Amino acid sequence: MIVSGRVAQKMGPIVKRLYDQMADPKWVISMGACASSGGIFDNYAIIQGVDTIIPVDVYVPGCPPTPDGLLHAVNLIQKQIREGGRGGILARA
Amino acid sequence: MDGSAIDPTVLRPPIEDAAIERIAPAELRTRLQALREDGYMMLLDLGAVDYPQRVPRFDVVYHLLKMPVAAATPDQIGTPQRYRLLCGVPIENLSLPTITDLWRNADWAEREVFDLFGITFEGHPDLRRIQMPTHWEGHPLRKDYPLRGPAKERSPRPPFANKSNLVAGTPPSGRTAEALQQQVALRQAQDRKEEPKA
Repeated sequence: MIVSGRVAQKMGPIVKRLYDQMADPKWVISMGACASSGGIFDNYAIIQGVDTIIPVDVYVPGCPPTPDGLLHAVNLIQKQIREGGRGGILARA
Repeated sequence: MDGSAIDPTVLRPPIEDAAIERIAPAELRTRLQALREDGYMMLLDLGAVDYPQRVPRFDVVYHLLKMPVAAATPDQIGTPQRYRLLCGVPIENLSLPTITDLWRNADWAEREVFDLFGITFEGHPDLRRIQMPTHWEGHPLRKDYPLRGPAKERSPRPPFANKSNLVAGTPPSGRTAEALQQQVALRQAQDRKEEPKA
């Protein structure tokens, strides 16, 4: 799943529900600054990073992220799929 | 502050294409009904403003539009007329009559005003929050609502979360309304001192 863009407080449970509905194995890309950390929206209405509600495998920085940044993220996901797990980028807690 | 803040609506520049009128909540519905019968068939917008140092605290603003009659030829098309109605709502009585029976699009606009400011509309068919989650506490667009939301302890984080457990409320910064007023006064004093030189 690619979470691209900001996630509002109202949308949070919906994103979580979509993640739960995904079949295993599943990987998540957090695309952009807003999905990764809340970005420029440091306020009451935006979830400060989608990794507070779902586990993220690859973060793509940028506002907006560059196309090659996203492609690199997809490549990293493919690497994780090949190597079974996080591929050494981040250890699952 | 001490209540001597200037009412910003007095200083606003005049808009040539709109008639601006200020009205009390008691006469609001009759006036809007009269305007609708006069030809202002379109409610453009409904919003509210929070002036925390003013009495009444909130201003609910209605924008109406009178569109010209359907033209037969292009040279008969006239310009639409706008009307702006301001209604002061005191914090002791945060309630206004609804106008959803006059204009159906006021439905969601009034829900938004209720959600973000806390002004209830009597007679509204479905007055509930529209932008914030249903059980949100507080009205975010009031000036005394912290920007980051109220500081609160979150539920225990799942092990994969990379964030700390405490949601930061708005930290104390220097940017309060009083500090802003002081800066404005300082700048005005500077301008007055520089005037004889200019």
